[in-house]
Amino acid sequence: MLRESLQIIQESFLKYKGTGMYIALFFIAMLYLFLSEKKKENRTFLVYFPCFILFIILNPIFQKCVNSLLNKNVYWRTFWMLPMGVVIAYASTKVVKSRNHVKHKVIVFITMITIIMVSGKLIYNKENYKKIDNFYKVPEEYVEVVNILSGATLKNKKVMVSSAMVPYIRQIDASLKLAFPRRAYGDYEKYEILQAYNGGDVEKLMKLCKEKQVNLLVYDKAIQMTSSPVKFGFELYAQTENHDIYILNQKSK
Amino acid sequence: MLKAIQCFFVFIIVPLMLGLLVTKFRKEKKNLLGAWLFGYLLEFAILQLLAIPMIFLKVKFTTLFYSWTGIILAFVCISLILNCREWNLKSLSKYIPQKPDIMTILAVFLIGIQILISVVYTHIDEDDAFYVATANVTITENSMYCVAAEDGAEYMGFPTRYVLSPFPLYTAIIASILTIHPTIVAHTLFPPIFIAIAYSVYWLIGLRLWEKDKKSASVFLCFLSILYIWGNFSIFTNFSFLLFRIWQGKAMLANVILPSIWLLFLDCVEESKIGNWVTLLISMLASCFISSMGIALAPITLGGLALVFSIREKKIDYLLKSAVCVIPNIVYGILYLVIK
Repeated sequence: MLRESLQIIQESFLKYKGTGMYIALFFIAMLYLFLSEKKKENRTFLVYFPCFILFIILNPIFQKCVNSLLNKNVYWRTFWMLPMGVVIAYASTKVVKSRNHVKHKVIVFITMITIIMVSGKLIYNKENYKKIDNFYKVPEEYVEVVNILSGATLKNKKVMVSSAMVPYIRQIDASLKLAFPRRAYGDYEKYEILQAYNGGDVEKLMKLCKEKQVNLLVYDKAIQMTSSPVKFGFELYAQTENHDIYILNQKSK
Repeated sequence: MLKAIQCFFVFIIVPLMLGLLVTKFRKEKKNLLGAWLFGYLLEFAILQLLAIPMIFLKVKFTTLFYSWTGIILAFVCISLILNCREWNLKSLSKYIPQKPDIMTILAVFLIGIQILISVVYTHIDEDDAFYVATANVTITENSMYCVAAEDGAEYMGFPTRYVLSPFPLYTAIIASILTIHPTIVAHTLFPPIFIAIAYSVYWLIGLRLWEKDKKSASVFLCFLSILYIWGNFSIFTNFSFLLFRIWQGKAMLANVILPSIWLLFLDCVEESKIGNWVTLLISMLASCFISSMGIALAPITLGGLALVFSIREKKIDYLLKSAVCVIPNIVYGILYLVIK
């Protein structure tokens, strides 16, 4: 029982710490403040309080008690209670202030900044950030697709899209229902309709679309289809760069 | 231009006026940055008190909208009446920096870079399929947590994990006031404002730790900015959450609410005035509103602070008063267990 809790704590810590350099800086800063900080209030907040929080977070009994709200998938959020940034920043400032000459202060400031940069990882890169021209800050083609779907004159619109597109549709137009919801952990295997979509099995896809009352289909052009939705009562309504949009022919309902 | 003016009122003036109502009962009555922060905490606290019963009673969203905006406007009017005599151009002129030192300029520059990048660029996060879509669904359906954000199916019961912390309703309300799409509010308007609020909290913490030495607080803020910008050693840190997805409740919890609790508790330690403890209570209510994690993490944070300071000063006072402040979290925690 406690073994499982310890495993959750360990996994959460490993997720949170990354390379471990910031954690190391945090402990060094705490030690420095424990030895040098004269103001009791500051020492209590910056040293004793984080130690207490660590004692709580790393305690398997605590993990067991909060498991219903902070389960294994989100336990790492408990580390947010640690004032890590404040402790490191305060200790760094204190080191700078301890120098008497301005020249020395500048050198120490630059040194501390360099240590932080080397210990961390720059957040601004092409993987993390994209330049998107629309104010929704949603991939451009998805906005185009939603605008097309929103313009369709159908009642009770229900859309079948790829798993890549599914998180974005209802952010833009909440009147569009979806054939399946977004899964936070990417476990889409249980959705037969998506398996048929990804496999290009149009016959099976059409059967499942009918069962789920899907009347709009956004098909990824990169997937080779075994047949065409047109043979099953859909008509090609519009096209974007990477997607064909089919609408259920109202007469064939 | 009109939208810009509306945004200025909604994001700056209204929270500031609300906050001045709070600071009236605190030591530093003319702390504008503190007032701005307290204004947001009060907005969240009032919304939490209104929203939860209305959600369970399946009241229309427009009812919540008009109730909340009515209360907020009433408080703003009261604040205007109580504060108008205390403020004039001369007292406001004190807040214009005369000769900012190089470290203050550097700190503002670093924070400005983060805000600018949050507006010009975007980090795409699929969790918005729930959080942002909930705000959009709320407006579209004029209902609250009755229809699933992810696919539009009707909820069988209530989504227990999220219904007690309805932060997306704040997005929906702001979007309705500004008549701007909620996704645009979340992705384009919230990031610069909330990043600024987060650093405001840290500035106030810096002033507290450095005994109002602004130069030292500026250096402190520079280091903090660098820690945040280089804090992507893991996607699970509060550093990453501030700059990746501050429009989500959990990011606000990690970067605004928990630091606010640290700050407000330190204020209570310095002066155990009723106004300080009430502000702390407001922040605890706000913690419940902002994220379901807040229901648990906020009282643990406050409890930890109260315990270590009680031991240090050999006073049980902090523990007793903190126990009162965590009552909202206990109530919502019990409610969570009951509806689960």
